[in-house]
Amino acid sequence: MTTVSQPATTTGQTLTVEGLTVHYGGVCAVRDIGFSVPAGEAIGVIGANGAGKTSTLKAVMGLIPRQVGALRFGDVDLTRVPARAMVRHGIGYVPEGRHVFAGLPVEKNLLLGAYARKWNAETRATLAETYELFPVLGEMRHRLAGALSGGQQQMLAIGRALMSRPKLLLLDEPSMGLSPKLVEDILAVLLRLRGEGMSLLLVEQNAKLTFEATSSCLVVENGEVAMTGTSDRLRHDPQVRRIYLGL
Amino acid sequence: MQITLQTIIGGVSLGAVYALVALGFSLVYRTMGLVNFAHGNVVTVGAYLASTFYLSTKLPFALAMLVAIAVTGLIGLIIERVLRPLENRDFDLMLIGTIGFGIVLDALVIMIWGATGRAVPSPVPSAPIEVLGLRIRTYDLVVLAIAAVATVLLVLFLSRTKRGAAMQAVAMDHEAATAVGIHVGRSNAIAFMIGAGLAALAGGLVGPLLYVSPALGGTLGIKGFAAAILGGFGSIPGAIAGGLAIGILDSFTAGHFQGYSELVTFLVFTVIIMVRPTGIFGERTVNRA
Amino acid sequence: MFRRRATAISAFAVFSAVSVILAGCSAPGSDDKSSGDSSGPIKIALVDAQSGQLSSLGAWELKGARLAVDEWNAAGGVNGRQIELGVFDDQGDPTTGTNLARKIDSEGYIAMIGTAESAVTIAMAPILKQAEIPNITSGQSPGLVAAGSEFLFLNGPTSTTYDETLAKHIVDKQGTKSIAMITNNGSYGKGEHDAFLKALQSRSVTPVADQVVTTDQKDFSAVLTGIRQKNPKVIFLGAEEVESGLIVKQARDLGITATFAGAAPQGTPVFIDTAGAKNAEGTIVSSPYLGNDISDASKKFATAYKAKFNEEAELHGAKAYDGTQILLAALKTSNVATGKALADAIRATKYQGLLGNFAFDTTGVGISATAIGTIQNGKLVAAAG
Repeated sequence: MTTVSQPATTTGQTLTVEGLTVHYGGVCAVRDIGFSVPAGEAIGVIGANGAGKTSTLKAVMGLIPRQVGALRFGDVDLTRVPARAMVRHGIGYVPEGRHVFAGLPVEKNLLLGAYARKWNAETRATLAETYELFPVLGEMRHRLAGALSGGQQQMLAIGRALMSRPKLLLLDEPSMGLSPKLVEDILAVLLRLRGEGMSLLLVEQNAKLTFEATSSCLVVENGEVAMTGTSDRLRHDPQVRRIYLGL
Repeated sequence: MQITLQTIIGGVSLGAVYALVALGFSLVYRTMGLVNFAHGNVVTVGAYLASTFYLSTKLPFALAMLVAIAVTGLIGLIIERVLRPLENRDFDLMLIGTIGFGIVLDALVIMIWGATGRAVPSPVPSAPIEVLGLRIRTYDLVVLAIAAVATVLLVLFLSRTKRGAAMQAVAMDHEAATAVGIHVGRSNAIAFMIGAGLAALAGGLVGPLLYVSPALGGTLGIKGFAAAILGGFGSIPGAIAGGLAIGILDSFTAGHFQGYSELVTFLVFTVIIMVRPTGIFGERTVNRA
Repeated sequence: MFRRRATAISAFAVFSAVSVILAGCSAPGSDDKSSGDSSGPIKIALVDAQSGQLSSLGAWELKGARLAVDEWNAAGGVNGRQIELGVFDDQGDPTTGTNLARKIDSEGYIAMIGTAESAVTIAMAPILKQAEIPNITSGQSPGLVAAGSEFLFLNGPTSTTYDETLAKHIVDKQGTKSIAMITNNGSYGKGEHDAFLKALQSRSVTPVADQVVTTDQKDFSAVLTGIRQKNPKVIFLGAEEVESGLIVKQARDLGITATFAGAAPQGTPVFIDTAGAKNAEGTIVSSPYLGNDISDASKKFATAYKAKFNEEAELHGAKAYDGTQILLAALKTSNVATGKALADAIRATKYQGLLGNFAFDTTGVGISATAIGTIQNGKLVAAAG
């Protein structure tokens, strides 16, 4: 099976976040959150709407102003790294709401995912692998990204992030607005990536998807970490069920 | 019939200039989502720079143009740098910022070169070519050729190069662009620089066709803007089509409606836009933040 | 210590503000015509387009007027008082002009030189008439005469004179009957169109083409191709310097070999440069100021002009120079009168100027003759014979 990620090594990098805080105007969206994503692991972040999950992810990427106590990827200190340089440190980002480049064709979208690399034979090889992972993208490669359906755009957004050969993939609500069938497809992709040793940080409202894709999760409420635990345990936890299902 | 053909020929060279101006407008819009209201003034600066280097320092015309383009490219960089804090945050203020820069450039032109203008002799002195009773100025052919080459280069840049694709991506989604590693500020700077260079190219080329004066850029700016709208704002082929269309339309109305020609041009333009508001090649390419 | 400094500063600020306000309130600009005191500078306004497409005219006028004013000031001014030339930019726009008319009235200017654009001058005339500010203009539209103001004077001939002289030369003297006309729809162009057509019609000549273009037009292929097919011997131009230059350039490119003819704009360096000296060769120009070498007076004027401004003198500068000289002479003879008295003094002034002998009639026209010149080797020279 071809791989689209770096093979897991014993010297894989762990993402460490400590004391992450985000303010929007006068509101504190994220308050002193800390967690880590060990190399090759998949960590989930779940919580209700407006709990601060997306802000957490964007803050890690540096797309919004933040205060952070520590932000490390392996040995590399990321606190001063600007958002545009994160991809060069091996961190890929799949934004909430897809955010594909609607006016450009699918292939251009994917190639731009590899912007930080040279567009040479090696990148073309990665492109071929991406098409293998997402055959529908291969069929639509010359269509404008804006003409794709929601599910196809989600595949495109993930594929775009994978083009940079990241070691860690940040995903923000990939299941949003997708049918259960498509959510299954997303899950399959995530499991495959995980099997190839990629680290995942998955922010989601769909608890089922999260518990199946990840090994452990954070539960975020009002910008703070309310609970942590393995996905298996949290899945059956009555408090989690209360927060999610209002039971 | 001869009048018709000659009229078309007369309108085409000015049309090519309008197309270049429209290209600059459309490029900056396509890559930054911004309508640059200083664009016409940059055309004036380019015209003055090119004619100054050509007439006073006696540089060969091509070299004078290149110098003019380089200097205006620099001006474009400066404008972008000053406006960068507003990028992706407040488009309306940025728009007003370009208007302000336009006023500054206008004042600078008058300060440096005076309020009167200068005539620029044609750099291609040979007599017009005669074909089937029609006369074609050799300089007009030069203008067309250069405009065509510039367009082709621009299209190749946007569609084939990494930077060109990145520039367009920034306008569509600047956050996602940042996430894949694109330096948004630098990309915008380059877009602005190219836009300014196109303006200078238009201004330098049009000097021998018309008369270089502080009002030159204003007229060309409005025609170029209209051309860009007609062709579909942000569309590259649209800018070409729109520019040529307006140039030829102008020539025709001048021949048939005498003193009311400008009114007729305006009416035709209005009707077309009302029927097809996004322009001939209109496409929604830009999402504003 | 700090608090005392702050108090001192605010006291000083209040004091300055109050003084400024008081100074501003004193002696408002009067509508009494003696501009405050009779020993200060004499204020003359120069109103012209200093920006925009017609700004070259404004620049020339300013230089001519400035030359005259500086000559008088160097010789002691008028009755010991220096002349102050206030420069105002009307941008070639009649509305701006009317605002300026009110402004110069309220600021105590007693006379005005300008504008070079008849439409603006005509717009300003009623206001200046009411304010009783004499105005010497270099416009030539017959509409100026029609404005009927005893405060308005022309320092050049009207279009009627220009074109009558021109028609006389072309039709009567040279015997040419095949004439085409290209004029623009601005106020100058319209005036020229009507005046030349009238002059032709009085000679039973009908133009083979009568085309009107807009003032902003850039491409004349349609009009010129049509004219080329009619094959006229002479093409009359009723448009400003740059536009007529472009017409000539494009006409030659289209293979038209006819001679061009026109009035004041066609005698300017701007026209010759824009058209290209070769293309403009042989153009017939009707102008009261044929060149800087025409007479000793013009040579002296041109030398002084060149020394002061490092530029060649031309018609508009000469017009403004003459106009200003006449105004200053009238000020002297009337002992710095204002209003109606000054207007009468101007009317009574007989002046031998660069443009000819000035003798103002009741309509304000001072010169009723022009001369014919042609463009040879890129320069305007007197026509042979």
